[in-house]
Amino acid sequence: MLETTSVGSFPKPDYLVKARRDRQQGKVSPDELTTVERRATEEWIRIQERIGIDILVHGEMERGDMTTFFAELLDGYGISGLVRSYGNRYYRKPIIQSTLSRPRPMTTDWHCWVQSLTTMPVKGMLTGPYTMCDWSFDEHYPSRRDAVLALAEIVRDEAHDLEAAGARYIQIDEPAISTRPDEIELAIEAMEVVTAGLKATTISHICYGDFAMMYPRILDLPVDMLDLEFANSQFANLDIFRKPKFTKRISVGVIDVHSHVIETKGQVKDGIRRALDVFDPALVWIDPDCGLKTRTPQEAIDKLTVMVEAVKEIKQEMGL
Amino acid sequence: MFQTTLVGNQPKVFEDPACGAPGVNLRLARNRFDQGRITAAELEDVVRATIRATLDDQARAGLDWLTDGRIRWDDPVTPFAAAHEGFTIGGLIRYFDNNVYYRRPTIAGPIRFVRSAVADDYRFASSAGRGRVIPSVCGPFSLAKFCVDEYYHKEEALYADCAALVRGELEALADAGADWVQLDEPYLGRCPDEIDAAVTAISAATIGVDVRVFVHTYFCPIEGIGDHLWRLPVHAIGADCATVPGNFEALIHGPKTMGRGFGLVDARTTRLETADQIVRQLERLAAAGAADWPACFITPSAALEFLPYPSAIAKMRRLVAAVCQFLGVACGAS
Repeated sequence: MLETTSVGSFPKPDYLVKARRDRQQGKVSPDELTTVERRATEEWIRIQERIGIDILVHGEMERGDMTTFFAELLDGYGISGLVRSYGNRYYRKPIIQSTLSRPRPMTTDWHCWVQSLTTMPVKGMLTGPYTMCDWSFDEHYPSRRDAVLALAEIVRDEAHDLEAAGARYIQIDEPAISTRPDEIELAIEAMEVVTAGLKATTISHICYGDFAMMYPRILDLPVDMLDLEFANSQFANLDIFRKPKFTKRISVGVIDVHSHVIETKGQVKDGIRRALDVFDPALVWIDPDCGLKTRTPQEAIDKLTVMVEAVKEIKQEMGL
Repeated sequence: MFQTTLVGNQPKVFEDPACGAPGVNLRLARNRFDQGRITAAELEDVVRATIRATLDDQARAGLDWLTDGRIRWDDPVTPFAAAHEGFTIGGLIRYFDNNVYYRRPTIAGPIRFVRSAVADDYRFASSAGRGRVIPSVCGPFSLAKFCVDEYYHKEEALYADCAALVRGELEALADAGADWVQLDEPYLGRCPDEIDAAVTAISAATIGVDVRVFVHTYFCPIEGIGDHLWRLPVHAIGADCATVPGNFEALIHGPKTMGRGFGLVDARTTRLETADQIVRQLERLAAAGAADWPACFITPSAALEFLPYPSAIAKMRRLVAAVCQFLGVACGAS
């Protein structure tokens, strides 16, 4: 009850930012970059252990954008130029240029290595098929449905490989699912392909959309847990989930990842209390709204620390 | 017969060596400004160089009407809200069905026009000597819809004050010498139940203002509201005809007295239309009497900022090339 976790990404330390830039300019080899990525990943594992987080993430030090990372590892994808996502932030949006296929597992080696660093469970992190399609240009498939279902088979294979590699928790992020309510059936159909037969606990992170438009249909997304953001909207979204009753496990975002301001413990506790007024406490995990990669490392550490301390105090108040 | 132009925000980052301005990097400059490493004046220099570069690229492509690309704007509404009274800036929300987000303004008090958010950029762009410039402004109905209303609680009053604010912007642009203004109304087709209120708001913003107004809707169908749109006291109505084919027919069947704009290339895919595809649509427009309409703009379906810069350039060039092919003239002389 009230386990703490993170959504996925953490900020990259300056030495890794430099190494990635050096790699782009051909100044360091792929192996040298990997060494730096491993160093940063291990640091984030130790930080999470020190803070006292229950279910860890590897922090995505080896990834840039959550779509582009996978697109670069799949056959059939090309990578376009920079496209803005918000403010002054850009990503290289992938282009589906031919039939997609997965030449080899994309995340299992890294997951196994990270899990070997800690006794705490580490989530396996994937981007869902609907989001992979929605955040790509498609110059190949005749319809969005064709593209989404082709990607669903690829993500399914990766998820099963992660499970076989020992992942107890597999997160299949679908932030784009809140984009088009008229396509939620397609998103559900694709997730059915991905999660069929999985025994690991499955989680899907969705954020920054109009939840009212997709609730309660979103409860039919075939995953064990939904991970939603609340802090950025000052918990105004909570009321949406009062009726009908929310029946899934839920990770409640209580930290605004788009603010430099570190929440006070009182603010976080207030948010948790408000969430527990809506959701069954036995089904709730606590985490930030989204990946923390846009914050500085110290801001991310401070925010996670406040979150864990707030959860501890709430648990004490509840006699847990 | 046909006049080519763009819609809304253009890409701000140049990656094609043949486009943009060598050495101008607005993304980097904004990062440095955020880190306190350059001054506001130094950032402003880069913003203006970027506007000049996007004007250059549009002029080279041969567009009839250029835009400043809204280089200073991250979305159609937040800087607009920042320039006037009554708004605070809130949390992130997705910009329609795009993988683009903006901070949603909250209306926390009475909306009052303070100073134009667009007139200075219009003056700068139009004085750059690259060609005729058409500025764009968020329309009153969409402005209200983009925001969270925590003050008015009555839509009639909210829309009326949004209309007064937009009217102030249009008057400022008229004073600055604008001939046409593009009024972005992406919410028009998304809220058919409120079309009467929308028409009232747009009318209040535009009647009697000394500038021609081109209302552009995008991301939405207009078939169901066409009759209402034709009642608007504006000079042209535009719509996305690339991804909503029914809009093409709806626009064609409007009254002869109204100008119109056809978004014929899809601004949200890198898949490039062929010139022949566009020419076939131009042929249909000509057969429908486009030469007799007060204006017939040929545009992308929406802002090209959803594309990487090279694709955006390719789209605008293809648009112009198709019009030139139809007219049988050399590109740049459409």
